[in-house]
Amino acid sequence: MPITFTLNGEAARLDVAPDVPLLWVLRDVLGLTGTRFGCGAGLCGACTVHLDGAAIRACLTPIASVEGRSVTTIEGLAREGLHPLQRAWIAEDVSQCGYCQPGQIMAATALLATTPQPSDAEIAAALAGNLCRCGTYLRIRRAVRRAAAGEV
Amino acid sequence: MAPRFSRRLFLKAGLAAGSSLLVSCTLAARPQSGELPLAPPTNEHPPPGAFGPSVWLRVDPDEQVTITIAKSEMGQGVHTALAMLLADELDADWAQVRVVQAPADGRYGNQYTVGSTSVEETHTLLRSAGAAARMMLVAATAQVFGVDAPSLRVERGTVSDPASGRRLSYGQLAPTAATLDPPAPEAVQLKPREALRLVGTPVPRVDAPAKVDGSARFGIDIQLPGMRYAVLARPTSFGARLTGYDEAAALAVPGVRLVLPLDAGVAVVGDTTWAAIKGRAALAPTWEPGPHASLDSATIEAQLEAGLAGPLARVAGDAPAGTVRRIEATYRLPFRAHSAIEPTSYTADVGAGSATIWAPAQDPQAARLLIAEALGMAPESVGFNVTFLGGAFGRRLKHDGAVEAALISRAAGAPVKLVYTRDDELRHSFYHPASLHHLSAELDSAGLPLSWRHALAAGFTAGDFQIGDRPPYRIPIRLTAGALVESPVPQGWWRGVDFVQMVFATECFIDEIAAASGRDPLELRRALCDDDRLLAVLNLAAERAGWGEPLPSRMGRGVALCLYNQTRVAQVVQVRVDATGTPHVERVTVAVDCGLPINPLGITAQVEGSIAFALTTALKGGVTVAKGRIAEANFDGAQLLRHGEMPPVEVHLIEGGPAPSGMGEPAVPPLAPALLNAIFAATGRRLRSLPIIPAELAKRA
Ligand code: FES
Ligand code: FES
Repeated sequence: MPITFTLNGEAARLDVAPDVPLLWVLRDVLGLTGTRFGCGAGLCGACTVHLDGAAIRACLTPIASVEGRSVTTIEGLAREGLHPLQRAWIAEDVSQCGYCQPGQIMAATALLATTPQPSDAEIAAALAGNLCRCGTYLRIRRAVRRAAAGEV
Repeated sequence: MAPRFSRRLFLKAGLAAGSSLLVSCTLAARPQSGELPLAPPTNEHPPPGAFGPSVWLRVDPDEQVTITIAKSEMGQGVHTALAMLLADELDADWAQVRVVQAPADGRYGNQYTVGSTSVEETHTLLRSAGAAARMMLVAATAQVFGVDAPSLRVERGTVSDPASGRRLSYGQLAPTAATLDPPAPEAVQLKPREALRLVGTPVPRVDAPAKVDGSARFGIDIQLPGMRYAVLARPTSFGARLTGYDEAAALAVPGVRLVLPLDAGVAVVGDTTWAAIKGRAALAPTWEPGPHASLDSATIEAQLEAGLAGPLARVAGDAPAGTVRRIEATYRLPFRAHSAIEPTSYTADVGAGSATIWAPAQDPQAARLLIAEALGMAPESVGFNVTFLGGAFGRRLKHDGAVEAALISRAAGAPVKLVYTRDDELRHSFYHPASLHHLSAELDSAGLPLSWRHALAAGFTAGDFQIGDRPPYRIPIRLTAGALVESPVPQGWWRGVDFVQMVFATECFIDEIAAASGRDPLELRRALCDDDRLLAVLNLAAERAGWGEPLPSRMGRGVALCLYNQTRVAQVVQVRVDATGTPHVERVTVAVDCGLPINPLGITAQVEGSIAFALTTALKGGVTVAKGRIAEANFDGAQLLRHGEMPPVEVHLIEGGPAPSGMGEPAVPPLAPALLNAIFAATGRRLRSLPIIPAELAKRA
């Protein structure tokens, strides 16, 4: 049975097996490769997307479970141009290899949606599951603060 | 050769190929920068009137300046830094510069991206290319205006004639410049330091936009029409031999197309990565465990101990005259994995007489040769595109997987992306050698070392230990000897190469000498340092860190130095050790001299990243061996530093020389010894191995 959901604000209808993780549907079926594969086990955060606005791990989310719900990926984060957090990321020159950054940004936008003025401890807690081997953590924190302060 | 790819095209092709996709959403067009890794070489297919005087750059009539970078962008910022060097000499308008990645091609010279050498190796070449092109644009202006070249002024992508007020842009000049001969190499003059206007200023990364909107394309993101996905079922221990597998069960998994036994394992090919992973799970291969099935970390430790005997004998000798005391210490480092967040992948599209490859490669020319040989093709018949690298750290100098991807594509009759899952990546990789170091020194009555004897046993880098072995100190007798210990554990380079092992041992031991002689560790280093530029960074880091200012109990500062090729780094770590023995790094103060600092923003990023990288090993450890394989299969076992664990980092720059030198690695090696030295200052406990075990500090505190 086809699965129907909202993807980046538009209706999507897909005929795929219900147990396929959302990650592989996004990447291999839809070509939305900004959602990244790092561990496949909920341990790195590279695959973070929004499900009804909350940050989830796409690698652990069977496609059937998004039926009738709304999925947002890094490609659909901003309706026009860039989201303020993406602009803050550029302003703070956060990225190194950049591979983890879409996941970091999706986790950070979900945080700001519920906690518009997060403390450093709240930023660290919300992003603790998003690993960055390049060590961009200091700049990510600065970018989140910058966006929270509206300086973008 | 390389098919140009666009997302729109792929979706159309996917639908035409009978996919069950019924998606009604449209995918917004994205900025072009993410397409860069797939761009052709700069000067193939130039627009009419373009000026492309070398393989490194092209100026188009629409003012766009394209700079080709042949080294791989793995996060170290090489696209930005190298392009800045060329653009500065060209006097280009930076806003009009775009950077493209070169494919594997001998015309670009050495593309091996390793050991923080890209800048040291290519800065003169790229600056000269920019300067030569500027001279030709000036000559073109002189021809158009009928004036002498020296009377013209160059400014941000334009040339003007002050006498007449006339001005032409590089884009306008391109068609004329393209008809001129390049200047003789000896006529090309590089700018003096004070004339550089881009180099030395903080410039945001050129790849920043593509890396925040999902459009940057890493190796694993490559998609081709009709592409299949493959994973390999791999041996369960080093040297295990395949004895059987259930092909029918794998093929019964929906979406699985092909099962193909190869030397490295059994490939399972599917319509999606997920189908391949599920097919691999159903394959249930059986393995004959082979000779190393009982290998574990304790066995390796014993092998290293045994390996130390030869080197110990080689560095031994009579105590020099004046010796009043001898001290010794033994240091250990574990195997370390690279743990780039992007797992290894190769995408291959193999046809009858030619092939095209896409990969995040650090040594693309070598990978291309491997593939050509395996396919029985001439290298020119294999196009090799370098994508963005989602971290590399030395992992992607090894091109395991490249040949497999090509063979699978040939067998499947379709483009194939071979993907490593995280357990593949952790367990079937190349590890930075575990090492054992024995150091001893004979001290005179003032507590100064008369001798320095360093014996070590390690994996392959032991043969090359001279590179990083030299402690930068004036000591009359300095002896070092190493033994290469054979091991079934595959070994390779890692961020910081063998400076990691050497600086760890030497910077811990010089601290032990200071403690033994009752000297301040900073003062002893100052007294013995034999390199003026290194001494300058040491003094700067110490001053900025407030060295010598009192700290509360169980807090301390430690220092370490690293002379890495031409780059000098000093780090001061300030640590607090709590009652449980857990160290909290409160502050890292870093002074760096990498000569001409091309991009201070990038230098700071590399220092921060290096500290996170090194701190991961110090606090979380490396990888261990059990039952003949790497024990850790994912990030729950092989832990990485997290948000909230990153200390504040201050970076101070000294421009100590006219030539720029590398910054991707030099700040990695000194962190761990500086931290252990700080823990000694805080607690009086001397740790000599990694990771730090808090229980040990608590128990003994
Ligand atoms: S890939 Fe999903 S958390 Fe790592
Ligand atoms: S930027 Fe490389 S892993 Fe985060």
